[in-house]
Amino acid sequence: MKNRLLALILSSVLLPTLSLSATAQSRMLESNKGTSVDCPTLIAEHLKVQYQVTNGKGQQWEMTLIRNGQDFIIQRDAATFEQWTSHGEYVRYFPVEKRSVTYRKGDLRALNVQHDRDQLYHVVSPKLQTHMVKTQVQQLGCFETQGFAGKVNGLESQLLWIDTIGLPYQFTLGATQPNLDYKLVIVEPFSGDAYSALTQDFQDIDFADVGDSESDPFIAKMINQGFIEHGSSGFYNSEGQAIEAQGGHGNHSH
Amino acid sequence: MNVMNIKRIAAAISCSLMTVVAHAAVLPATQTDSQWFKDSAANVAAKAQVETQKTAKNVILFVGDGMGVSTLTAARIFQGQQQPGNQGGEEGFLSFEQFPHTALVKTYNTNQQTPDSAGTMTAMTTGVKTKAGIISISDTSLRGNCLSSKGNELVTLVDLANAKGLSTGIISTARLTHATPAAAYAKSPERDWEGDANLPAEAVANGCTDIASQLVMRDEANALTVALGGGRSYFLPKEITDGENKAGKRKDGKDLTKTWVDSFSKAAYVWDKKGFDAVDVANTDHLLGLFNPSHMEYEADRADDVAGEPSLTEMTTKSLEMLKKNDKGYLLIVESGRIDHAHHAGNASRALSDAVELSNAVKAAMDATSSDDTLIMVTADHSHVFTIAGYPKRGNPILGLVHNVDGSLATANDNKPYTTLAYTNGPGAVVGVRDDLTSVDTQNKDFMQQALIPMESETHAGEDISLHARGPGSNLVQGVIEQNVIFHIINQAQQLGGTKY
Repeated sequence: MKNRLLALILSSVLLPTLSLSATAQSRMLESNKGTSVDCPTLIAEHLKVQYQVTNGKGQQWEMTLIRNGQDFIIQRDAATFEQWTSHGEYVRYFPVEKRSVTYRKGDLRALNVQHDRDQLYHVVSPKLQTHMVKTQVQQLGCFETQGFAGKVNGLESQLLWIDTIGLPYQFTLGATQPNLDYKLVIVEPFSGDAYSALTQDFQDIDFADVGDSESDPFIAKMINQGFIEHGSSGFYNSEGQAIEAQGGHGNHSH
Repeated sequence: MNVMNIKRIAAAISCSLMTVVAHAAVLPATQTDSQWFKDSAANVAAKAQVETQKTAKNVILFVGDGMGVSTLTAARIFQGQQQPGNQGGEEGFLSFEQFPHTALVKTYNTNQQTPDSAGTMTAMTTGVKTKAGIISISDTSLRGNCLSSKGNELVTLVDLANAKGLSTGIISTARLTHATPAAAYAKSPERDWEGDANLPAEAVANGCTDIASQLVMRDEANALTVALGGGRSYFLPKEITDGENKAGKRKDGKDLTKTWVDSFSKAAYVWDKKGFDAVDVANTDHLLGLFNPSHMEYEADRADDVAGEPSLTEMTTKSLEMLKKNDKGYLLIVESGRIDHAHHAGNASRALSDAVELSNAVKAAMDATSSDDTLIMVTADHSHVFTIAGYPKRGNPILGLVHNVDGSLATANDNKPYTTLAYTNGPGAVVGVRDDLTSVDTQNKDFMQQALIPMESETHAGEDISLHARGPGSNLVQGVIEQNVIFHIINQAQQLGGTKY
């Protein structure tokens, strides 16, 4: 129980991911003086970013965030990706099966799922900065970054923040012995049409209908794999494992 | 049984009551002076005076999806505890619980001991039980197979009422294409064929059509007068984005909301609360209201809806205004569709809020009609594994932790408290160590009740549900009945001509 709560607290700050398949059109290339890039014109509400995430065991994975206005997609692995809409809906997509499950606001509430939309949209919650002290301003590639340092969850941490797009350039939790490190590796513009294309032609089901759809082989498979409810929390621990909704009780197993 | 016979029975009961009264002197004053004694005696006396007409001009069938008996009890207490000056909440009644006639209803499908909504509602609307997942097609059909459904389509109450020249209406807080409302007007071997994009090649090849199109693509004579609920996306093409910024789901390019307006005389389509409130009843003969791309909001969340939604009570009231314009009468079927969904999510608070709103809608229907000519029936399609447990003291908050009669917090064998309401299975299940709820606000509407068996979604239950009735023909509601008997009660009371009555 304590571990689950701790994981939930950590996850509200951090979003580890697994892998993704994406083609970068412009890359952040580091140089001795920072990052040298082919600087595209970026609009904070219409872009795609990819982070390389490294945990304390040296394991690495990637996460992608794609914004379309106030809607955004987060992809953590090739099997699924998730969309959060401005209406407060959460949609989990299964690209191989071309199926999706939509959790409407009422469904999320009924499941007692709570999330920090700001943290998801910005990868690292902007509120974090208020608990840290400013350090130096650096030009890294295309971006002017503001440095922050301070304790996060009891660990000395460092944040390089790109204010123009509201995202971290790098965030390191546990500065002397890194627990988790997020590093921006790709950033590019992403159009509304391209965004819409990502979610086209999926056969969608409301989460509310799952209970009446257990004869659906896809739903049965997803339930057995624990995707349906666990996916709804949107939170993952430092091993990339989904954390159950807060309304769950005990050690929910699948 | 005619009115005379009923009067004879009533007279016999009345004589029996007089006998009781004649012997009342032997009862001690502490008994006869008790308010419990007086109230119940008055209740029986009133029942003895009940006279029931045989023929109903109008029929309203309310269905609480998943509203089993434990839901009724909990909703009654939930409602009672919110009323000022209550005596604990247990003493109250939901509006329909004081109807004069009640029966228990067996809900199983032809292939399932614990049923689903498609099979149960088919039983109610056609008089024939069928398999789970099948909409108003007999059980000789295979689920999800169009070819096997051909020739096995069943005639529904709505078909019969329309043929008689009555006005008809369907209301649901779920999608109008969802299994329960769909069984009133559509025929489909698969409940999931709500839109054309859901039809497999076999269905298209063999001439099956989607449920949304079956609601709209009808002759004027067989058209619904009122259809109000959710499910807008199955009526709009995917190229169209609706007023709540959600794209339609139809692949055939059809805008069925436009088809509705173009096909029927004095037709109107509304999609938000503002449009709903502005409907000119006097000059509208066919009203389609689709207030959400999918299911409408839970009553507890309705105020947060993007464009605003009418309540079940408001939809019922407006529908009755529309339907009353037909002097021949009407048939209205009203579903509270989201009690079921809240239970599936293991969230008792929302299930109870929606059940109370159904009670409010029934009250509005009672107020807007006469029991002399309108049969009102209230039932469920199936139950849920929802329990009311422990020995909480009188007036203990129904959503709260169990407190003993002496006020102390009751604890289980693990020395932790527990709630009165829980589920046999579902997402709130405990595996391993049970959470300590001592400092948890279990009355919060987002609280998920604990459960025994871990399942991603809580399930339906197989026990009987209840049927409550008032008005002409309601005397036929008695005993333990098969669910398909409901069709026959309506058919007989409203003389729909579907049998040899």
